[in-house]
Amino acid sequence: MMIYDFKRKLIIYGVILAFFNCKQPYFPPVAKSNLSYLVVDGTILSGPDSTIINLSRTENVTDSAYSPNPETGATVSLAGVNNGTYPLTEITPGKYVIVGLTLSTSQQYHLKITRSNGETYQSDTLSVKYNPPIDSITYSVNNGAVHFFVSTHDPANNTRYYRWACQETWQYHSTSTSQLVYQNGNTITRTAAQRVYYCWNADQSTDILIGSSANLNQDVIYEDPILVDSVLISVYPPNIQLADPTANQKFTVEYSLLVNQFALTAGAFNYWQNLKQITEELGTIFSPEPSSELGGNMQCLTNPNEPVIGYVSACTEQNQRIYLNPSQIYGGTTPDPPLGCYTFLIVPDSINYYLSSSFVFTPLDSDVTTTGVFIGIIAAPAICGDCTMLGGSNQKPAWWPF
Amino acid sequence: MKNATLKICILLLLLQAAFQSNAQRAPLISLHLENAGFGDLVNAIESATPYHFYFDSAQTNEMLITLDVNNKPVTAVLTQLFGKSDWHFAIDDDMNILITRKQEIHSSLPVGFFDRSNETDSSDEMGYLDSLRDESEMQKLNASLENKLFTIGTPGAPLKKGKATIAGYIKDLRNGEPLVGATLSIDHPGIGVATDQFGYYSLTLPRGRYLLRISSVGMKDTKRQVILNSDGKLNIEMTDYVQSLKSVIVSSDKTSNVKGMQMGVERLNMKLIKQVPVVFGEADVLRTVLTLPGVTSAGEASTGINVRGGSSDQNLILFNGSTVYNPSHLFGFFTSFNPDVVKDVDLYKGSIPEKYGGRLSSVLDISTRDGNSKKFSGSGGIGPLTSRLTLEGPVFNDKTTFLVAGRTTYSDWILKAIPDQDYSNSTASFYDLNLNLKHEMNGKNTFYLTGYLSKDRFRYNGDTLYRYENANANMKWKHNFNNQFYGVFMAGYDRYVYSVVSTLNPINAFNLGYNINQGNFRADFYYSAGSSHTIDFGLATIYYKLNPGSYQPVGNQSLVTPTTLQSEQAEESAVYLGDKFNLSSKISLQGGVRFNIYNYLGPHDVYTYAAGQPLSAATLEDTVHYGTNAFIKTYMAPDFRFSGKYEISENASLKVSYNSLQEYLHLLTQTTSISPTDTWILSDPNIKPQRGDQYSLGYYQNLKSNTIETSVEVYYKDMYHYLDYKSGAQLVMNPHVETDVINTNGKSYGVEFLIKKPTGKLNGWISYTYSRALLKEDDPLAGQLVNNGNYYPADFDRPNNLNIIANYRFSHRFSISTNMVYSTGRPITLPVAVYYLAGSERVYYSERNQNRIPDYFRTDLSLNIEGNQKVRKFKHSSWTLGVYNLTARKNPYSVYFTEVNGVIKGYKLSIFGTAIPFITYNFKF
Repeated sequence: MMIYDFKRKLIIYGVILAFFNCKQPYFPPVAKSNLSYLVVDGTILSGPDSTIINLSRTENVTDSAYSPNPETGATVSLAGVNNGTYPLTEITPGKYVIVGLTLSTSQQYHLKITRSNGETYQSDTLSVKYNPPIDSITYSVNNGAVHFFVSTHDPANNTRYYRWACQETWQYHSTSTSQLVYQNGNTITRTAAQRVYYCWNADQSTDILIGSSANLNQDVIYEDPILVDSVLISVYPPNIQLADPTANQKFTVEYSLLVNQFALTAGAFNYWQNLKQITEELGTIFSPEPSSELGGNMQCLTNPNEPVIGYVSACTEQNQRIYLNPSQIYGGTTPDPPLGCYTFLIVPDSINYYLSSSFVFTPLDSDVTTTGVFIGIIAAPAICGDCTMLGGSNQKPAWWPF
Repeated sequence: MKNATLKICILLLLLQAAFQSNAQRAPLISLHLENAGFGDLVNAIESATPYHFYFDSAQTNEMLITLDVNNKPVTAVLTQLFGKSDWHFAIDDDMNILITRKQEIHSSLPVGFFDRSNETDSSDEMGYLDSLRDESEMQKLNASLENKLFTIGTPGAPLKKGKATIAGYIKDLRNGEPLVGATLSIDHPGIGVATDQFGYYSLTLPRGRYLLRISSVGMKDTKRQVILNSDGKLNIEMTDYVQSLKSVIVSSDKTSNVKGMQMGVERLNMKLIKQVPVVFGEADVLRTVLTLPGVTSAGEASTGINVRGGSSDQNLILFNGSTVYNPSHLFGFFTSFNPDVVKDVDLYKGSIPEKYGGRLSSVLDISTRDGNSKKFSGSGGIGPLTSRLTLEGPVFNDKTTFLVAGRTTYSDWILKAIPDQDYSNSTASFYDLNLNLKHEMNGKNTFYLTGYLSKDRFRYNGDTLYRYENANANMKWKHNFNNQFYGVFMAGYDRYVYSVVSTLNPINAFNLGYNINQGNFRADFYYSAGSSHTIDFGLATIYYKLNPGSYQPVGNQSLVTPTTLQSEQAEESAVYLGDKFNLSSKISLQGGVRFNIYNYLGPHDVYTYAAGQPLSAATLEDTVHYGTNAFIKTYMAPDFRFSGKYEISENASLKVSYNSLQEYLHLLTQTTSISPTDTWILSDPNIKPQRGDQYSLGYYQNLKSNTIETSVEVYYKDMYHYLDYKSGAQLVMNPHVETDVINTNGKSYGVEFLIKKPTGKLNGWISYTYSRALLKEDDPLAGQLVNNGNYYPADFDRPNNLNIIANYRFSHRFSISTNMVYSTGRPITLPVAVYYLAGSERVYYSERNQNRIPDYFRTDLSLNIEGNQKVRKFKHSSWTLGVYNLTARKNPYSVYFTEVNGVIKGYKLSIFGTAIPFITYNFKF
């Protein structure tokens, strides 16, 4: 089936009426359905990396925050139609993993799941689809945002349907350097492991990223947009808060983007395209009506009428990582830190008062007179002195090259 | 006639006594008259006596005198003659005899009132009126025309038995525009006819004298006294009703809704449409239609209308006889019909005349003006988003008229005002053009030429360019064979085309195109066979040619595989015959049959699927090639149209009707609103034609001497083979779209209440409708069915609808209009579960349309200020200012859940969620 994508753009243009329209948060009364269907989220990858299948169950729609409902204690395995069975191991609740699968392209496989209560599920037959290498990940900076694009091609013209997932990792630093840490009533010098000037944070794409070359005469994906990050272009005023609080962090020290590419069958592509439409593209004049979603490729063998959510694909592993530093984004100028930070002196008799309530202030350094007399501790608000307060971790990822 | 003769033969002594002294010295005369005119009497008396008569020949024309007197004084003769009738005479000292009717005799009379030179034998009053300009003169004239007796056929001849036909045009006095749907009625027997699309009427009656009552929406009621001797012509001009504000408006004749045959027909004239406040202030045909009972839409930004539970592709939108596929500009902001060109709009939603076919729900017949036949004139308007100009007038003489009109937008500023850069980089433009020519070759032949072009262009964020275009042209020839029989021949061409071009990504740069073309020919005949039968018959044929999709590369780098879907051809023909039959003065019946033949034609490759299996790529078995003009598939079906009327009393009637219809076109859309890139497809071997039936029953009652019309209509409809789409359907560029759609059946029912006050200082209507529209997928070959094959509400199923349109005219120059709308919120599909997949929370949908958005309520208000009303003034101008959505209620267009940064959030989207003020300036010269 051919893919004609222009209509989605029209959907966006429906917001032409944005001048008059208004979008308000609104939670309509949704009846409790108490449906609990199995959700299978993952792709079988033939290659050295991990194949991860996340199992969870659907929940009622409520206006409170969604909390994951993992399917634990299931038996998950990949079975070749002719031979070979590869069991997956549950490493955290609902997360089933197997590392380093080497699958044959000459036979077909089934993903098999048995719940702890004995209900069994099985995927349609899966062929391991050839997945061509990613040619490049490119970016451009305009309109206050960094736009990333992926390009790939299959000289054999066989792949045609693609899905991508992005994993961003970036290093950033706090505004002030903290030499000290308050521990058990004492302010002591930080150890190397306790340093909180540099942190690393990560994020993953939340949108369904798909592309197709089905209507091209060659199997070429050229600069398919996969990710947009807003960046702080204006240096002043420093207090601007963007909608995404991590936006200002991303391009301050070092940034890395990992793109995983999956080759899809036409059926899988239709599934993702439909799911994208009904879960991401509603809300404009020309939006499609949400309809029941397309069935995936998992079946409940115990109860054939029970819907199973998700579409499992199998392909060879392909990914590419790029690194960006601030000068590539800002062209030399470095943006000011986003928050109004300040430092102040805590006189000795107030140290416990200010520092004992954690996460409010971070001690930076001791202040002494020129003659060496201790007069107090210089402190800053925790979000200025401790990078972990901005969401990241001070643990450097093992693969981080810098 | 006999009555009148009787009356004037009665002798009344009272009057004689009053004039006794004159009679004493008056000469005596003898007269022997039989069926003589008043003129004969005058001549006889004037030649034999010194008396001199003064009278209004327009009034006395009607008299037929049979008199036998011997040696009587003139006074006695006249007394005997006029007797108890409402005629009066007076004789002054100079032996002048003054004859008047109804009125007292004044000592001084208006100059020229009795002037004999006013006498005209022509029953065509047009020339008579041409020289008149002043309003009061027009009124006076109108009054005298109403009192004049028009002799149809050979004057003076003794009346024969049998029937004769009176026919002619009813026109607007001011500009010579024919009035469509004006009604002529006579009280005894209670017969009425309406003028057709050309303002033409034909009425067959027993020979004799009648009082014709003529009424038309927005025009002042008038009447004509006629003596029907033999077949003849009577053209009637009506005056605008605004001008008659000074006088009391007589509304005794507004009985057409009770006496007319039609039910479920709504007529709007442009004057009324212009009063209804709309967003941005420009009179909008479709938005006004939406205020009528039984008409709903999916939302505010949509020009798609849903009539009595039908989908929006089931409305035949005719613009002067041309089919318009997409009547919207700027994605539905505006209706694409220039309000200065439109004359009036008929919406047939109940009994659809057999003349029309090819759509299930309704016919929206929009007729345009022919152009002013009396003088060159123009009109136009300037609004916040659009401006328009119309020029019209006679060419060479009043036999030929032209009208050209154009409208364009400068709406870019509104896009620039949107803070989002994607929109401020966007540009939008549209225009529409009209050309109408009319040539009245002679009384028997009239030619019409209509051209229409509407183009839209929208460039999003400097890249993707959307264009769509309607182009229509037709020629009509109306030929009157005789008074009772005429025909209209029409040939036309209609086209709708859209394209989408994107070149942002050079590798994927494409141009997608779609077009539907149709050539039409039709011949319609009307035969008025006596007072009890009116017959219409005719034939119509349409040749369709669709290019359902072309996807082409743009630029050297583009790798797009050029793809063109096979063109589709079909031919739809129909012959029809209908008869309106007055069974008695109380009961009328109308029956019609329309036989439809549809042929899907080659060249085409048709897919065949495994029998008894769902249509899908997997069950595709074979491809059969058919050559040029091969008959691939033929569908034949008769449509039946029936309606009956029973007049319970003068002011009340009961009507029933039944319709069946076929539709060979289907609009494929996945969105709530019609979007310009939705595609029309033809019925073919795998896609059956849509079919529908409608039953309706109505009660009509006029109150307060016909100044208030009320009605209740109940209907029930079935529809079959409506196309709904499967989940994940690919509707664009799909070579086998039959695999992505599901046959759906539907039913709808409702009751419509209407209270209408068409005239008076306060006018308008209140309508309330309760209706349901339900769909059901029960295609055994469809696999998974929406809502498991149970009935579910259609997107436009809004059970409760209340509309109030009111206009109050303070004076000639100021009027205030309001429009209040309340309706149940439309159905939506809400998720039943939430889950996490592919990096984000997602929602799970199950049953379609099981929830509703909050109710809709809106009030609009506008103030119309007319400029000076002097007719001689070169330019008339008017201002309309108002507020759309006065209460600034944030009426939801949709309620939905969507993923934002990995989290599902619920939103309510309103389109015009604030009060929008508007001002427009309109002018006429």
